[in-house]
Amino acid sequence: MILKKRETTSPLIDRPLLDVEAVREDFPVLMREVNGKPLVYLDNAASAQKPRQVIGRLERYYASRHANIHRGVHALSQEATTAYEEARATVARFINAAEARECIFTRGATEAINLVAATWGASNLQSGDEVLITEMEHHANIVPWQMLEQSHGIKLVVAPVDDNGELIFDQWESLMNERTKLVAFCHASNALGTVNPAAEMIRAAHARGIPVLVDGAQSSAHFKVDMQQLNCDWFVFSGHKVFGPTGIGVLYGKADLLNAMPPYQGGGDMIEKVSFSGTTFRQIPERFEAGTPHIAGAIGLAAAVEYVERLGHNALEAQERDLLGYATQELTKIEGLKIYGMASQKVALISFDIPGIHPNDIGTMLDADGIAVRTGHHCTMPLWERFGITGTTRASFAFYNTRDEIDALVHSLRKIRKLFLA
Amino acid sequence: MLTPDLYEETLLEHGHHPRGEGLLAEATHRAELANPEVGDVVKLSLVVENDVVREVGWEAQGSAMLKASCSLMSEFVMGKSLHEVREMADHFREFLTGPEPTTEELAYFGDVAALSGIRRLPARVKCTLLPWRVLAALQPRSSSI
Repeated sequence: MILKKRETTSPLIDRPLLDVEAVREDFPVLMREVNGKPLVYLDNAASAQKPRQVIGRLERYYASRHANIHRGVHALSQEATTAYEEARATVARFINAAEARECIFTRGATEAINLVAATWGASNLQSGDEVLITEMEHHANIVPWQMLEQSHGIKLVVAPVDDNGELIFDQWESLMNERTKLVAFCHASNALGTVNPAAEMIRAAHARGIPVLVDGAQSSAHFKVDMQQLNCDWFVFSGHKVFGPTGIGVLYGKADLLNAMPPYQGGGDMIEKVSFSGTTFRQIPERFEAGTPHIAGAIGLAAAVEYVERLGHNALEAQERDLLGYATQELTKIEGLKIYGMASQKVALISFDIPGIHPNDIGTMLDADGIAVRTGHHCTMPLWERFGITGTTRASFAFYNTRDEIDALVHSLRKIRKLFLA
Repeated sequence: MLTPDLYEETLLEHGHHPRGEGLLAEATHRAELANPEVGDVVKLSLVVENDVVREVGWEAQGSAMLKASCSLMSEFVMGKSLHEVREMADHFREFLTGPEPTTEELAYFGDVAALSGIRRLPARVKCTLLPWRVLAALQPRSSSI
């Protein structure tokens, strides 16, 4: 059965468009029903589903290769160590990092940002220093810096977005000055879908000698991210949004920068030598991986990114472009429906509001039709304040979604509209 | 299908024709409570005479479910003692989140029992509870909220 699957999916590699029906068979959850209807899963920006290739890899790891990594002289420990370090190399290839050791495994994107704030931030930033972010940041790229405002007296500076949900580049650029010590922004907005001009922003910040952290939680699932091309100083993403397990994520950082940062957590694995008269710390990646890491998570993440690489970014992007275009066109036909986020460059997600119907009512009603969306503030409360609302309904797509599913969403929304606004 | 029925038969009826909407200028007791993480807000005003609720007025920001719960709550507390009304918050939470209600409980809650189906929508329980949690926070107007 598995062999057959490989036979059917392997010819996809160089095709421009995806054989979506074949791909859907890789995702067991897509076969289930919810409330008596076929599941239509449109909550991918919150967390993506897992292909058999990931689930199988996790099972094989736990069934046959598990032991604690590093320093074990027995066979299992060495196999697990090899698999864990191979996973790091796979992830490094996925984001085109110059070296595998530049990829630190964390619990997720949130922990990765917190790691940078708590180590580099706490030791390099002082009262009066500024961190420049954007209005469209996820709370995970706001709150860690606000914590440094409280502990270190730094100032968080926020660059505005326009009515289409695009960063106002000139204003953003003009907010950088001699006090700006860090620029941090999302590669793609989880709430609006906007893709920021990351390469241009990184060049502009570097021209002023300012390091840049890119939150790639929403970009890495949708298009190829390339560390050497972007040339950012840090990049973070979460495994579960790229079809991997929960509880695993990556902090990418330039090697010299990471090695110059103080450790995050203390414990086993991250030390060279411990004595009560003093302890010395290891270099990356172990420097930031105290304690037993999420070994299975890293291995599952590697399986996920291998899966994405095998399908090919070109094919995934083409499929998602089609879904975004079709969904935008069809949703716009619903009377009164307003889309938030009309940037020229977007990942495949649509935030919308139907005046007079609360997003939570829409979400509950869609769920009754088996359609999973996210409703509310999407962890970007300040952004909605700027737009004068408290939240939206968000349909977010992955390459395994179909036009039929968008039709189901639109049909259900029309029904809800009739019920509530009759 | 549970959900559309729930909306159609009870929640939409109260959503389209809310009872008690609008705050009372002559209120003797007031309270306000929010679920800040979802932006839900309920403001409540009562006229209490001789320890009995004579009038109820509310204002809410939130979903149809929240407003229907406000509407049902406002009808339910009318004519009850302030003491009973304050205890209603816990009583209703137990009704909505505890074991399946008994026939006696369903009878006691009357029209409000229509909300009991929300126990099957755990994500919506919190907003449904908010108008009832406000009851426990009621303060005499002199303490000005």
